[in-house]
Amino acid sequence: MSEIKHWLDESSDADDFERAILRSGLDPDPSPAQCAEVWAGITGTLALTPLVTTAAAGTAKAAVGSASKAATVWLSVGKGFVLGLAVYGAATGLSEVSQSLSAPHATPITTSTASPSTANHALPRVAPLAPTPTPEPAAAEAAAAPSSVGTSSTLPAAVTSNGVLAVSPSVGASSVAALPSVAAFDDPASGTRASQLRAEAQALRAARAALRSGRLADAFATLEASRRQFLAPELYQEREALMIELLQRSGQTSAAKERAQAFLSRFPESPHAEQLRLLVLR
Amino acid sequence: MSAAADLATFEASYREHFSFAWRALRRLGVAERDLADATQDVFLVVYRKLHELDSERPLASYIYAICLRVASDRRRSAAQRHELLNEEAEPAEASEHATAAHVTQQQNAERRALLEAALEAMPLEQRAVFTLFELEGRTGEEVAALLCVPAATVHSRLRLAREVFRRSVERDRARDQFEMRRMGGDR
Repeated sequence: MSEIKHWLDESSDADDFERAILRSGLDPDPSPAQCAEVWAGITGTLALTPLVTTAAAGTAKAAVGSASKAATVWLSVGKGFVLGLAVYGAATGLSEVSQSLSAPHATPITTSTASPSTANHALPRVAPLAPTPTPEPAAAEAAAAPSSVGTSSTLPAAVTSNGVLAVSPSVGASSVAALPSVAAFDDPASGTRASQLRAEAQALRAARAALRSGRLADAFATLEASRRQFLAPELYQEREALMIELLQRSGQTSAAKERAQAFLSRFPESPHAEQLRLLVLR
Repeated sequence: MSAAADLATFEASYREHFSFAWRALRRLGVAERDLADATQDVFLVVYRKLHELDSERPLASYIYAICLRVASDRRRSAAQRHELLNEEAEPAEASEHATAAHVTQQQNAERRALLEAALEAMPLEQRAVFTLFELEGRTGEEVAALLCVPAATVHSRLRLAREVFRRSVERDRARDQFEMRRMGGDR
């Protein structure tokens, strides 16, 4: 092959016309702004977000300036990253919660300040959770019955690409399927993989946007639809993380912790793990 | 590997390969307006598969394979929507009073459209070899390593792709040369 000349080489057998056409395809490199834009989209989808809090060390006074920022627990991790709180909710009771949250006064989240216990936490500092909206009676009921979480699930078990059952936290020790190899992406037979990834990412973005604007019922509905649609999700961890955050935000702290613990037992090395450990410790 | 190290690794990989993936997708037929989303899709896969990668295989090779998958999927979707992949490269109609600069611009757009049409006429695996070799400037050995195929396969695909290219552009040669004479060019 090395003896074959590139057509753009003047000494190749291509003529000027052919070279002119080829040269029209020499695109400029994407701009730094485009690079940043795509990176922002990736971190947004994965809930890997640049540090948005400016809490002073020792005081942990939250400097979260908007409802959207307050909607997440932020944790500084490594080199200037924070991870959106990793999550996923109990499957059972979700529809009831979702329905109850669709009431008009499922209020948007506002900012808050840290509690002293957060301020003195030995782990990396965390902006406090914004106060959760007061759940409707039905939601409170669901939250008060965490024992039902994951034990009476009627939802189908979904085997994820990571070989994990995407049901409730109580099934964390359940069967593990074979991992797909990266080579699968070379395989034309897996032709729907990329479109599924795209659709999943869109659903996560929509759910996160709903969460950030206080539309918790919409967020639940979006995640639930995604869960039903994608039985073998590519972005399972991100969806689970978002669901745990939603549970926490809707007052179902027990369910949130239970799922967080299950998540940690399955994915101890996940980028979301450190934040979930903090949730479990709270 | 810790989560922080994972993130650092991922971001470094992204920085290193972003432009490569962007160009690859563009040249594999992803429309300009879809490039940001498509590139994002590629790196979401990279992120998810970071732990499964064989360290013996260059990351660029994985990324290119994912680009092929994403591009193939998007081309299929676009075809289903009956959209032109290169509609933004469609040349404008010539104006009687166009300036020389406009003519040049228009001619570049026409050539780009010719290139897009020629690339569209190639099967995706030939298009990959052709664009990596002719536009990305890779050597045959480099293309073979990126695609994980024997050099002989690269050679064969390049030969076939060049035939497609020549057949595709030949019919427009006379028109292009007429345009060049009209604007006094001296190619």
